[in-house]
Amino acid sequence: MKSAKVFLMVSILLFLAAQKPISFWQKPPHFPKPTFDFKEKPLDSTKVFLGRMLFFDPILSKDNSVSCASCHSPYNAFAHTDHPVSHGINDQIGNRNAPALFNLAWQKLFMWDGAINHIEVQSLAPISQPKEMNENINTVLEKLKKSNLYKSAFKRAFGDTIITSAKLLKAIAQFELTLVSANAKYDKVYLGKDSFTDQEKRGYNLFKQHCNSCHQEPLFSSYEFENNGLKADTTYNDYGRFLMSHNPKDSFKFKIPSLRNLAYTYPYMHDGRFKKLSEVLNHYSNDIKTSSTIAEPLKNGIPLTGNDKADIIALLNTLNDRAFVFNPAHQFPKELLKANEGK
Amino acid sequence: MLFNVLVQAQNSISIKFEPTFKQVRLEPNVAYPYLSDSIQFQELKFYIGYLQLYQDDSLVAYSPQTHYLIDIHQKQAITLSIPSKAKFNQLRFQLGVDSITSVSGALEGDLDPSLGMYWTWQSGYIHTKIEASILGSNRNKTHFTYHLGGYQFPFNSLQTIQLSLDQTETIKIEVDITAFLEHKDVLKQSVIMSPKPASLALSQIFAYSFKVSQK
Ligand code: HEC
Ligand code: HEC
Repeated sequence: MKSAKVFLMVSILLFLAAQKPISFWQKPPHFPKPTFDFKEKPLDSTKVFLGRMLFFDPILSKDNSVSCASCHSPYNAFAHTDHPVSHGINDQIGNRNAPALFNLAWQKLFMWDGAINHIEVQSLAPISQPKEMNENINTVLEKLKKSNLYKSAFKRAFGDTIITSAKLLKAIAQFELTLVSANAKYDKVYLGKDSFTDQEKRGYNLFKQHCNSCHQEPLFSSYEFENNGLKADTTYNDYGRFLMSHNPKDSFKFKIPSLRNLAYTYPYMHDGRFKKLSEVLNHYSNDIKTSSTIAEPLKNGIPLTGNDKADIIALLNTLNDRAFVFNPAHQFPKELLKANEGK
Repeated sequence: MLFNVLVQAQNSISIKFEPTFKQVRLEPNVAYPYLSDSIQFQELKFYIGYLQLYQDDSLVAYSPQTHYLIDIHQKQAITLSIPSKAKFNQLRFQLGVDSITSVSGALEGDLDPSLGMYWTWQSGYIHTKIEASILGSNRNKTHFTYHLGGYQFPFNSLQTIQLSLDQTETIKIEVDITAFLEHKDVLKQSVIMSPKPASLALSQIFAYSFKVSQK
């Protein structure tokens, strides 16, 4: 037993040592300058790898059952499909839909209501949230300190084996910052390497006319907060941005989500109320609920014919980035399995 | 480590923050008379930021760390070094964590978010944490839980404090929370755990607790 473990440790160390530093982050040529300051906090392959291990490891939860990836799966562009709202530890149900994670380096604030101000401190929320991972950060640190795998991964990433919350948080953030989605058909068209079909072109024109003010190209979000006229949900009574600002002008405003990768991230909206894109478009054309905080351009709904809707959906489908979703550098790190086997 | 490269002769000034209640040094989990009952403190912690010594309006020295977490469970002094002939007559500092620091990601040392002074579900530091229970026959057991803080306007709760003092090598700042705990606006509240108007109001009242100790 003992020697088998030593052998495993050695092979893991060899694997880690063999990992070449990869240039992880390059700004897609057609993207704006990111919000995250990569000059001040440059990405580093060893930290990214440590962050990836942590992201996929249920060790972050109280009973070691839930990892970040339980709610943010790589195959769903790091969202959680099927579930309108998230499911956490002991199958407890949260009150918001787990958003997809990509292009986080361009966001100023995180969460549907903007409660979090920096990607590095975001992980503290799910780790401590009773319905998500329900764990104390100090207990997580104790668990990690007992693991040889993590001791060596922290050493490689930070130069010593002292495991602190700041290092843990920075590593997870570094992995998340590598999740850049900029390789959909739309991007190829934008860069002159492909072209839209006639239907996609019509959809693109309608999109620019009706949607782009909020879902701004090329990120497909301005990441501002708006009320897009959803009927208030009576189950969760979620006031969105108001909960943070206490300003009545922010009632029912939520962070505008990017429209990239929608094929992988259903259901839609902060409470996951719509399963299909056709339902979303019917909402914008027929079901807008006006209120004092409704966004100006949506006041009277968006006039769209059945064909217009089909055209917009065709455009939205050009935003699905298969290369991103199936990127092997974003998947479960198999080293974790080996490390936990036979214990 | 910081002090072994002395370019010019330096003097050390030591600054201690000493929480008191009804004129006695406050210790955790000890019962003190309070109103008609008694009170016992589990937590009293606060952040001191950008501690500086001034002579009138010129800066003489500043603390080696930007922020210090003062905690009744740990007694520590902050040491500043000043040029040996320098004079000072004023101490300035912030009570809490400023907004720039609050949006800078995961920090280390006294600002480590695992020290119980960081709100996890909403970014931002708790500037002052006071947790106490009131024990009394007619109250059963009541709790005070004041987590005061937040950096976003209009509830930015950071306070700036200036105290005039005489030059000495050891400065003792008494943090007398008696008036705070007997203040009518404080008595109205028993639980504050997020940035909001009450958090700002109580932070302003708490800031009056700081005095230069004459003892
Ligand atoms: C139980 C499900 C669950 C788990 C586990 C979980 N999350 Fe989330 N995540 C959510 C939900 C729900 C939200 C939206 C919360 C809100 O808006 O209040 C979210 C939001 C986020 C966001 C903000 C995205 C944005 O666009 O604003 C990031 C980043 C994130 N999670 C990363 C993580 C990381 C890292 C972990 C592991 C440490 C993790 N999550 C664990 C459900 C989960
Ligand atoms: C005034 C701003 C605004 C305009 C204009 C707008 N949206 Fe939205 N959109 C939002 C906001 C805000 C949300 C999130 C609302 C929520 O969850 O409460 C959203 C959500 C969505 C979602 C769900 C995405 C997800 O991941 O859950 C889709 C799809 C969508 N919008 C498509 C469109 C399309 C197509 C148009 C144009 C026909 C459009 N939107 C116009 C603000 C806008």
